[in-house]
Amino acid sequence: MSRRPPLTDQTIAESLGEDRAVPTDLISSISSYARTTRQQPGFPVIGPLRLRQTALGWRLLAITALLLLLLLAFGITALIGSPPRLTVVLPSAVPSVAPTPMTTPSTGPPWPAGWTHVADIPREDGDGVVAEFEGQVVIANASRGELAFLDPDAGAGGQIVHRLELGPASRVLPMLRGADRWWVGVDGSRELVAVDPRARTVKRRIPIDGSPYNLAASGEIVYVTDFGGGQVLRVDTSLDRVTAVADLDRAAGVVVLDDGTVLVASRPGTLAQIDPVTLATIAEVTIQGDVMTLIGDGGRVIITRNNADRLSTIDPNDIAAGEVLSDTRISAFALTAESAWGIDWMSGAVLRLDRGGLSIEVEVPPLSQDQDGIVHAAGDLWVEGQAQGRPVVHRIRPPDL
Amino acid sequence: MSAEGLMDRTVESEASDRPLRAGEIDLVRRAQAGDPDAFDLLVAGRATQAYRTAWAILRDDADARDVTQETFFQVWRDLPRLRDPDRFDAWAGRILHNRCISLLRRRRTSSVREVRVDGWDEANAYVSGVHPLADAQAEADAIRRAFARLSAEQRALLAFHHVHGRSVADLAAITGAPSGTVKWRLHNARQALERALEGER
Repeated sequence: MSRRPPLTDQTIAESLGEDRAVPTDLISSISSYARTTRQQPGFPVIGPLRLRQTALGWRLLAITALLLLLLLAFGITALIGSPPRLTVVLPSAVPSVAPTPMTTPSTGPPWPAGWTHVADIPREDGDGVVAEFEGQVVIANASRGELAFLDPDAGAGGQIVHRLELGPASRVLPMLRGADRWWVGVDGSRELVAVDPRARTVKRRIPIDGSPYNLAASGEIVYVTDFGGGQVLRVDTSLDRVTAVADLDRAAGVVVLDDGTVLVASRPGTLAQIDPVTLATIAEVTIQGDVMTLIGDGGRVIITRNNADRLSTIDPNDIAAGEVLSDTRISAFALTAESAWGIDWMSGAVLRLDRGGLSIEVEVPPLSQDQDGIVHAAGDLWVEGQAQGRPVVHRIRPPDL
Repeated sequence: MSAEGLMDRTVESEASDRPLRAGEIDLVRRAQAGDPDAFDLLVAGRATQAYRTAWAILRDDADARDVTQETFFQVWRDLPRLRDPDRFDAWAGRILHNRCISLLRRRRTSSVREVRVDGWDEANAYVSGVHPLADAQAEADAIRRAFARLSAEQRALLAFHHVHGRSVADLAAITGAPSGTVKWRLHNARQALERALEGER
């Protein structure tokens, strides 16, 4: 039989903590960034108030005392019985959909009134909800290189009913939805894969010399950002080949607007309008960095960012005017005609956002720590998370808007 | 509450057990005022440890580099918002921690990703016991593979604790959880690693 030494702190440290030197150009890159990037403004500094010398001070004292009394009264009320408006609506209160055995007990913080945890649908490790199609929730599993289709009407509260293998992948599969065809970027095989979402089959594959990060389309033309390769590619799907390539350091977001305008954004913080055919830069503006995706939304473009940074919008007809930053920081984003939804980057809470300003309107405490990925389908929100230590999709019903 | 508010509250309410020296606090204040030379000095003393921790969690050079860079970019941008310079390390550690976890979640391969070890004969690795160095290397490889099976949060906790040398109090400040909870989570992560290691044996 095998003989193993006991697992000690030292063996863990020695096994995981290899003696790696930080790349020298990384230090210079950080230094250069600090010399060229403006800092966020700090909080206003308020000096200590001299309460005895000002009338304002007495008012503040009175207001503070009043607030303390109210808090005390609220605490006593809470001890006697919870206010009904803060009570979580349990799944049993939803007659139309039966709860699954995986439903998480409502032991966490109270939810806002009207929000319901409908069910937990088992998923596989690595599954992440990414899109909606005709009421179905589409799930990408990058580690398996496959798409999964979750039917809200199957099983008890929903069920994954089909899995479609696409090819080797290591990152979240970028998807581009059309009426009868989807394009999915597969970075392992360096392909654009056309999927028939109704038949749930692969229609064809186009090899591209790049690792797809984000996709956008205009007719038969698909624009692909290749983050690792630092390039943007123009793929003519009618010819099954790449027709133009442009360099763009850490190319991240790309969007094609209704008028054919193509915008690309780099992670370090540039937004450029490029020529749809040659990919040459037409205009460029500096924006805040950490860009993930660009989303066309009528007369504006929404810019989503890596978790800790802010959502923003920009007018595509006047990109020189710069972006409008919101205070909302999210790790996942979904947009519907009536509303916008997100996952709080730090707490994992489900957020309903103001459709216009993208500010947080409602915050729903997370059911599990790992909440990430959100889609609105069949009137409900579908959020990847955990229940009883296993991966699930939380089905959450918001109140009517 | 916004995420920004949550972050501020945590930084304000938790203290690291390794306060900065007076000279470093001065560096933080100068960097907060926009002095890039002071920021360079802060980065120089922390970049290697941050990069090694990120690498330990992510097991990928490019990702570790990206996360380290983006962490310090954000530290620079948001530094004026740090109210207590003494808590700089806990605050920066929190950003690094969250970015590592976020990247692992995006990668979505944490539970299935294998760290391949060329030339390692799994069937015979622990049978002979003849070559102690080979055994030690095989054990380290097995621990890395087991580590790759843990959740993002468990990987981050173990790496920050064992590689970065962060104490429980530090981890409480970084994760925003009470010290007792951190101890419990560390214990769980350690148990999960041992269970995963059993699977490797």
